[in-house]
Amino acid sequence: MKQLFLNASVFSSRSFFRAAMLFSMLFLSGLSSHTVSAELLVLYPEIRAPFSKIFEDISAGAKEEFRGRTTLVSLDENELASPILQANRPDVVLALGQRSVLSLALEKNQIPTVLGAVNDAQYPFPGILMIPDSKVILEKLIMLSPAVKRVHVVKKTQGEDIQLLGASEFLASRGKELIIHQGSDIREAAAIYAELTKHASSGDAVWILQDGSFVNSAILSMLLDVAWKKNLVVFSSNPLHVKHGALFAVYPDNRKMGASLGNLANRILTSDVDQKMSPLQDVLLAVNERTGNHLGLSLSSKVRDEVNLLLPAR
Amino acid sequence: MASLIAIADEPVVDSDLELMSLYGGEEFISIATGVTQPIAKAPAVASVVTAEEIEKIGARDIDDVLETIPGLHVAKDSTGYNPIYTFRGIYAGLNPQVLMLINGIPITNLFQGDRNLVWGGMPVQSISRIEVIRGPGSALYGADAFAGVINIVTHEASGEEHFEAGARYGTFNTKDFWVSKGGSIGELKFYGILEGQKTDGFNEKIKADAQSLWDMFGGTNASLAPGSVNTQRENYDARLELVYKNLTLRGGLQSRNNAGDGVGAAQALAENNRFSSQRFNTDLTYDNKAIIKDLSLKVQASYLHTTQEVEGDLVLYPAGSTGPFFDSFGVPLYPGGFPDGVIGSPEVYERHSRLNVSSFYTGIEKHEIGFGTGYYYGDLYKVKESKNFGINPSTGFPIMPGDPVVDVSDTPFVFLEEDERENSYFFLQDIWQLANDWELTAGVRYDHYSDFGDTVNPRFALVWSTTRKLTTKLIYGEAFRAPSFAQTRNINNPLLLGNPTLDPEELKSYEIAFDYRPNYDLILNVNAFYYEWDDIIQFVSDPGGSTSTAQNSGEQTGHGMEFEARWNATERLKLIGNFAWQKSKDRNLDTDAANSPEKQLYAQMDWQFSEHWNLNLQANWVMDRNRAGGDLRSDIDNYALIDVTLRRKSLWSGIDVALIVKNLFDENAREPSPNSDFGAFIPDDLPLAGQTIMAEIRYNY
Repeated sequence: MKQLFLNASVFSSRSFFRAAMLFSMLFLSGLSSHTVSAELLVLYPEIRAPFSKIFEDISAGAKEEFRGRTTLVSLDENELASPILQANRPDVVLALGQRSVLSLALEKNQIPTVLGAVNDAQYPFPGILMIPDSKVILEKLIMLSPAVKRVHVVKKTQGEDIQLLGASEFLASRGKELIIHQGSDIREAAAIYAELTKHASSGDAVWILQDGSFVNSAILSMLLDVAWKKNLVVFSSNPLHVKHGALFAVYPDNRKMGASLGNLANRILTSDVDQKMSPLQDVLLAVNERTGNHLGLSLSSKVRDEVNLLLPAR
Repeated sequence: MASLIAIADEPVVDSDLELMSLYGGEEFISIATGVTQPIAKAPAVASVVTAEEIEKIGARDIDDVLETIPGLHVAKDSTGYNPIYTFRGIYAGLNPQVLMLINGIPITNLFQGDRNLVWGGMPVQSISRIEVIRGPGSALYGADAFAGVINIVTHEASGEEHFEAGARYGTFNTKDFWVSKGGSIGELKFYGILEGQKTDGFNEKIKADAQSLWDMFGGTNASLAPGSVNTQRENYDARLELVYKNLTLRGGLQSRNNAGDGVGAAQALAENNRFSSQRFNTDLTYDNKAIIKDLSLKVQASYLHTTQEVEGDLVLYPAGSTGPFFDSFGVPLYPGGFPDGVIGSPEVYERHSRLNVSSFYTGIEKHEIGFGTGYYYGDLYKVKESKNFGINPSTGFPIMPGDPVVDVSDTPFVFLEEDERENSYFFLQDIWQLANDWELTAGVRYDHYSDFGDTVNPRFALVWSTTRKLTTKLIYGEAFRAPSFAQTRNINNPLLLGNPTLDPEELKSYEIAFDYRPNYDLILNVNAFYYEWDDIIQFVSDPGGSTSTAQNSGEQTGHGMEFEARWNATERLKLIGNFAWQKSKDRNLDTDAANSPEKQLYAQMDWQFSEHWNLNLQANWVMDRNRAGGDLRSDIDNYALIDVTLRRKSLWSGIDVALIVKNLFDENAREPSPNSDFGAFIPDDLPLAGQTIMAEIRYNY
């Protein structure tokens, strides 16, 4: 466990720190109860670079936004949060990543908790998923390629996909159509892609979902080949697909997401917030310039300003 | 508050793997989190080597990295074993035909047009990436972007909290260390690094040297050959970068001390010759991506101070030598020889100031227009020389053997005139989206030089996205190479005289390049080139005299191909290979151009064979190097060097260790030594280091 007291790094000893805190709380409580700031404990997994940077950025964003003290604690694999909670006695916990969520799991946790950097919408806690809001991603599509009329998406048959929530309505409001294709396995999905691209024309776009669209490298290659020949837009929420030739992808803006989580932590202390996970609003945009040029999309300087990562032509 | 017990039975998901897909893999995590920058578009035949790749091959010096670039071979100059970056058959002793930039700023010296006679290498820990453009780039970079451009980009002050310290120790008593720190204080971001390298140098031997020849003529026995080459050195490099909003301030120090002279300044071994060089640079850059709508602005002022110094005396020919002083019958002028050897200690001090303003305008649809202007002032402000031969300025009589060393600085008898050079320029470039899949980059630069006049250099690159997998590039470029002060202002040299009327060397180059990516894990690059190199500056024998004067006399043409493959065979196994072939002709002599390898083959395997272990193997074959016209030696042997780097990451928290073996099989590899009117002074060529073993440890958090 590595602990960082962001607002009190001068205190090297925890007991000294505690005593000082206690002293100042006793002293200050006579003046005003409001001057004692709230405590946010951020739990995040201790992982190697460059992945660790994701959590550093999210934590930094949360710290900036949170009105109070922030303490960051990294967790080793299978480490439990209970001793950390007892030692820190935070007012609110921000658990980042699956490992942190699981570390809290054995606790009969009574501390208000916010979740981030996880991908499961089933958690009954306020938090932000790593799944981008469909509206955010479709807005980028319309900005980059306003001529698109139909958006095709292949999804797993079973169940609803949170990635598609509100997508149909949003596209309809812009005079465009969402066409959902369903497949039960990768073979079926391959056949669907082959069929839909056979009939597709230049007003069609294909949306590759995060891990729900059965896209392996062979299917992606076939899809991108046809898309190149027929001038179809392919977009995704995986920047690697952009490197391979998809027009664009969105990916998390860690710092802003952290700020949104910090804001959620503020609100959980002062008001009721929905005990559910929300899709990600804070995203960055990666665009493949070569594919854009091929499609004849003219990236105006205004559009270019919106692009965070322009993968240049070769 | 609900309990989380319900989900505790789920398998623990590896957060690494889960996040990988959301950000598009490790490469994109680094980009998405700002740790690395995506590689910029280069409508050129270009290569980029990142810090990560530099670490994997166990490189200590930039030359270890540059040797891996297709079509680039690092040969050695006899003086100080300085690198000769040989692109596509363009080879010259001091290598002024290659432009080296550090963070986009030239480090060319006025004296020889090289990167300093006491170069002493450059360590790699400060380097974020190395960008190499093969072929000319004068339309953008101006002078000397001729055979190729090497841009060394140091780590930027990103504000990232970072600390690293490391050390190496190994063969030839070689010791390296480095300490770096990055972070931020409020809105001020900083990055600083200190690097040190000290070595006794390798001790490969040469059988004979220039003095062996004078011994034969003069009946003396002064030569130290057979003897070891002198490659010891002690280097300190420091860099600091501060970033505040749009302003970047950088400072750098390259201190070279106790540097051996290779096989001698006059190709004669001398045991105790030591050079030093102190180089300091600073630059202030204002960079605003949108100063007004659609217009970027970058203003950069930079300053570079360089020295070429001699520690003690520089012995050109060892004690007892008669020196190269013979009468027309071949009889030594000083038959008793010089008891302390022939001494000539040349020192040169230079200042370089630059101001550059450039902009990009994106307000016209399908065009990205770049333009800029700049001014350069170079001042070779101090020349010092002390010697024990030639004319004594205070007496007007010759200095005789046995006389003490005389300081001839600031007299008409010094070897080089102090002088200055001004250059002003402007350039214009348009990246024009001609049609879907077609992009034309057209650029031109006009340069005015105070000493040799005007030059205009255009460049065109047409890039065609032929299919989804294939990109085709057609490139035409022209370049110029400014004559060095040694070539225009050398005086009092017993052999070589400058010529103030020299024109710049010129190059015209035609290239076609293909980039083919049949699948996501394989990149294939092929290119073919043809060039014409004119007005090559050579020292030509003066009629009736013993001297040679610099003339624009040479002419060379060349053609060739370069192939490169990069294959991610599996997630953990990467294979890289390249093959370069060139055929160049000296048009005056109608012979094959000398010294550059006509064939070069490189292969690398990088294998992460377990979570923390990495094995990197490299093999480099250097083949078919011709002798110069008139050189009667048989062709130099080909060689193949095998290197191995074994690295263990996270041995303890934050600690990595590595074992680096270069030239594993102790191959007797040699680079060509120059020829002369008397034949080659070093007949058996310049030996490279034998097997070297280094152990490395680094700590970072």
